[in-house]
Amino acid sequence: MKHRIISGAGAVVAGLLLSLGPQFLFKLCEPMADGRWMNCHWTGQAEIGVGLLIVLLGGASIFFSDNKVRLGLSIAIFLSGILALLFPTVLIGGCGMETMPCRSTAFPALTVISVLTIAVFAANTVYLYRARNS
Amino acid sequence: MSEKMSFTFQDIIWCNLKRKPLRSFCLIFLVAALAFVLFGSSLITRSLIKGTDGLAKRLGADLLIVPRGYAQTAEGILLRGSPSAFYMEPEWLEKISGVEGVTAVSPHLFIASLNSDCCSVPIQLIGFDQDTDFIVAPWIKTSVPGILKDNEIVVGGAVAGRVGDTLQFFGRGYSIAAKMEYTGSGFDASVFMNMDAARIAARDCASKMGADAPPEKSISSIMALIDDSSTPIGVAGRINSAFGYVKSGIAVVPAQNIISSVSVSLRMLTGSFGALSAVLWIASFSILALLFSAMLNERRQEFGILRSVGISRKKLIAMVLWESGLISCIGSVVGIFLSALLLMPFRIYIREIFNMPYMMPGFGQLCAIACISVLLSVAAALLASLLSSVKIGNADAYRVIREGGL
Repeated sequence: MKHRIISGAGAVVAGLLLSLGPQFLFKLCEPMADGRWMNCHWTGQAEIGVGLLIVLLGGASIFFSDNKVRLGLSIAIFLSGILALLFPTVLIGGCGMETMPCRSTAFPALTVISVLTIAVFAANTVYLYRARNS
Repeated sequence: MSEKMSFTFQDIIWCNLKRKPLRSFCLIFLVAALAFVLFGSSLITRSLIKGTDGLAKRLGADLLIVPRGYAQTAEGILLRGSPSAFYMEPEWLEKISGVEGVTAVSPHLFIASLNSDCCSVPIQLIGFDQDTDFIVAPWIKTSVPGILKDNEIVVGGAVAGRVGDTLQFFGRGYSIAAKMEYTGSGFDASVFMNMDAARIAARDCASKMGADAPPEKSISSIMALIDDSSTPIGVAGRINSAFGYVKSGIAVVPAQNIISSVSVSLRMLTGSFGALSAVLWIASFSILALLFSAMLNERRQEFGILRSVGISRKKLIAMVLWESGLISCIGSVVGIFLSALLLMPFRIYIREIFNMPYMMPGFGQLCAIACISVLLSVAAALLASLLSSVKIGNADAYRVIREGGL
């Protein structure tokens, strides 16, 4: 029960940070003078989606006690974490200059949260898999 | 019976750690915190040193000559890439090259862009004379095919884009002809173009901002090299006495002054980080020694029983040291992982905080820093547990069980 709440709550917090962080905490770049959005804006939009997905998966893993279901949810959170990491680094990217706010603060913060999510839920998946087999 | 026989020395150590998860977590957390700070402070220090070395090599000139009052601004361009624009008369090029001891001069023209299509922040555009240049060319990673055309640029290591891509400045498209190596200095965030292109960009900039166009053929700074028999300060003195210190309207900055101002800050930071690491190591060692002493004291009866069933003193000491070794290994790996996870992606932000050239070390150096941090963290935990473990080993088994004390 304790493990279920801790891991589920951890996923909810990580998901909230991924989805809401770029909008409120570590801000992305402002639109250009002509009103066009830069790449980092779309990365932020994609992170909202994947972050909310992690929130839902984390919430579900609190309520489901069946080990097999939790194992499936843990794998889903792990894979969503990889997706959250790929948006700013490979799939969409950000602004050209390293000194831009998105590249200096927002993307590093997203990278840290994504990597922690991946590492924690990889370990959680192994733990649940072993627990299921034992 | 056969299962009991297969219960190994390593199993006892592992079971001891799992039996008290909170205690093990606290010990691992403490070692992780130590490793985090040791690795983090070493990585930041190393990056600052590498950045400063990179700047020293990157400057490539002995003297920097700028309009009077703009020495600090020019330093900002060199150290941080802070976009600025200022102008001086082109006649100074000939005047400076005629001074005794000066062997080569090359002009630069600085223009601060409004924005480009990659970014909504201004970028430093720098015009350079390809015929006399000795600053830009040595740092170009990919060779420039011939002479840069008016619509071609060379971008710093931190500017996005590959060779062949186009960047827009003041409504004009410029093709990236080459990219410079990453140096950790302000030039990483700069864009270089030939003098004619820079003058056109300066006029474009003035018309966009509604300001007066810069004077024809004007330049912003002169980079000068001196011969081996002269010193930068000596030649700077000669320039000042030849043209008048105040009357001339120019400032002569020896490159070593820029480096030394950075070096002073670097020495202070290195000292602070060294002191912080040393204090934390001693504090962690003391806390770990206390924790291990309390922990082993709590388990005195367990050790007495182990001695009474025939485990030797040496084996008992080894068991305690293996336990602390395992804890410190896990803790230091976790600490270094978290430290690297935080410091590597946030390197640009850290550079902005320190306001100094900052360049991450290569993979080999990173591994070396990680290994040293692990060694220091493990050493702290092993030394801290050594005293208590020897005390246990030397205690008499019967007395330990009977009196319940070490």
